[in-house]
Amino acid sequence: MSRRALLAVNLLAIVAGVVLGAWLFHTVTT
Amino acid sequence: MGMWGGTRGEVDGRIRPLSVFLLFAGLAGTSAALTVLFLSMRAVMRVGGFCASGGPYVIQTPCPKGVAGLLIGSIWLGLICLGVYVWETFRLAGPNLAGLAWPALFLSLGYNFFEFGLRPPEGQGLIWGWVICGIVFVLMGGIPLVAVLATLGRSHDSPNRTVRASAKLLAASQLAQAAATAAKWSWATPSSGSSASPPPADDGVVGELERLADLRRRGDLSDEEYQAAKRRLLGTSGGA
Repeated sequence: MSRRALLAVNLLAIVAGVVLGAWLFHTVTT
Repeated sequence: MGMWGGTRGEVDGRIRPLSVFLLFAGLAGTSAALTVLFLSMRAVMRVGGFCASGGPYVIQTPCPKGVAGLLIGSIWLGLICLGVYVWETFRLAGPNLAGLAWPALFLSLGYNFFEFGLRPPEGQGLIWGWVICGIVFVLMGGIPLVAVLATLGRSHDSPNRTVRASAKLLAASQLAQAAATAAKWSWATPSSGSSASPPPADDGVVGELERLADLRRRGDLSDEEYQAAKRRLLGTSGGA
């Protein structure tokens, strides 16, 4: 797997994590 | 495995789907934990910065629902996920963004301190305690961020640098080798120059001695003649 593809996986993971974290916070606190 | 149409070894060697998944999950988990921590901190600051939940005491400011658990859980989840991510990064030899987690944590929390310190939700003036915390957190996150970005910049052109460094090293070693060879020659030249005459001289003396010994063995020279010739030969060579 190329370095560029792994970097794309990394960036996708960061975005997915932020969305997941925000969803989790709002689900738990409301 | 069949998806890539290769053998198990090829899949294991090149793609490693489980590793890629764990890499994704590890970084996504870390990112989610940082987000939850950021939002939880904001929720606590919104109620004044101090809250409590549970326990036998009367609580003045109860924590927003679920925030206490989220704060603790996000710290542990973040650490575990970061560990998984770093492990898989090394296995896949891919880009490692783990160094950004620290700046992300401190800069995001520092932002909260600034926002709520400069514009408190209850309308009072500046909260200097939070502003000072904000300055400290921004420094703690910002300085390593600069260092991490500098490292990332270096690692980008590291192959070129490595090649250049290797070329320099090679050139230096060749130069050193050439210098050593030249030095050896220059050192060798005087000694070989001075020994250029001795070896023939030595060879000559030895050869003469051997010839004399041979003559004596054959009986052409008596012992006295041999000794006299030998003394003359050694005396002559010693004098020269």
